Amino acid sequence: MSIINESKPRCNSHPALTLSHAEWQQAVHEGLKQAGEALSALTGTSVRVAEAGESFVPLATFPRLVGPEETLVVAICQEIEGLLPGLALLLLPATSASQLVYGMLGPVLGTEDEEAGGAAPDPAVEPEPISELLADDMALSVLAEVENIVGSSFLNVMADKLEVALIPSPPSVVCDMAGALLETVLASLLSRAGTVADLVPVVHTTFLIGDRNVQAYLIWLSTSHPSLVRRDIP
Amino acid sequence: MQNLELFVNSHAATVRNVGLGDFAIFVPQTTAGYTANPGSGDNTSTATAFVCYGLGSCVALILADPGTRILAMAHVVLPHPPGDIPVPPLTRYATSAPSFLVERMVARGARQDRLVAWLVGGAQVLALKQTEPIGTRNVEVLRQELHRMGIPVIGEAVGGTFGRTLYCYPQRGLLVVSRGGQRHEVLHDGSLFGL
Repeated sequence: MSIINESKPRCNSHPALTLSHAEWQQAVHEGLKQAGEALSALTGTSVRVAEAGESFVPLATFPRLVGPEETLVVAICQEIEGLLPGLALLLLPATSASQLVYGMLGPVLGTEDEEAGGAAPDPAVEPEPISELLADDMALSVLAEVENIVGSSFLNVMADKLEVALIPSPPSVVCDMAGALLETVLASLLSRAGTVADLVPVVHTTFLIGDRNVQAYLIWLSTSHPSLVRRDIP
Repeated sequence: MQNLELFVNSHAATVRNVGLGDFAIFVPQTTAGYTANPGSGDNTSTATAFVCYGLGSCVALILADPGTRILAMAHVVLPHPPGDIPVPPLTRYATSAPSFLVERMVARGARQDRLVAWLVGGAQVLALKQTEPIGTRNVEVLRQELHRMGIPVIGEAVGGTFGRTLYCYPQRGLLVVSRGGQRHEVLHDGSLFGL
């Protein structure tokens, strides 16, 4: 791990430093597990949690964190204030976003199948085109609520373990290229952290929802990550 | 050009991705050109296109000397170094990327007084409350630096709330911008180079 800004003062009273590295990792895993369970309860279907954990991603490849840079994704973003400021981001490939919303709101979004409400995504039905989905206020509300619940489940665990308050902003929903969104998030992180690390600390996981493995990625970045405030982690 | 999308796709196999903070320099007298990676020095490359995929708040800076057709490109991430010390590569920052590229272009035979520039990117794809709009600042600082160096910006595709991809075909002097991986548009048709 290369921390470039060596002039940044150590802050022994910082909440992130009250945990050992192992405790920090355990909190991250528990938080992601809770987030997966919340997503399962919300969608009423099984959710597999894949590739959960924290990694240190080279700055140059960060925009490819969830696939090729030009992949069209729906991003639901929450800014987090408090002693661990940062960003929580739920990214869904465009098709997955449609499938997820349809699975939760099928009849409301115009399908003929009145029985489909609240069920898992139906493989026989084409998902809504992303442009129609994003023009639908109810679909946007559902996406925002998914991040609200999933992100909050993760943040609640981190807040409990660290004994700090983490205050998320209301979620905002945008659709764009994954690379454009992730590099913007990264630039914001580096600017606010006041440092440039060659490796970017990021908590991320892939959720595979239902039988069709609808994909969703939860990402959390903090400008006060332990690796940015002290040099012995990891 | 009859079918821009077809042209872009036909070159997809020989693309050189200019990633965050990366840069590339093309010198037409060589077999294909020169590219450079931070930390590894210059490498020759057979790439026929330099590409910045998914530009959000970042800005692609393109400099060219129409006289020699030497062309350079950088993927600028931040307006200025966030810490006290500018951490390499200097092409990460709007304050230092122009002079970094110009120095290397001039070393290969370009003339600074002939250079022209294009800017692509600098969007605000996410409205983040807690930070300055980095995309806007990136564009502003690059314009200031280029003005200070006497280099005119002759084309831009900047700002807005959507991401862009820039394709640069240095052998033709052709610059193509797409929005969301679609809607390809010509930013420069190569006419400046007599092509």
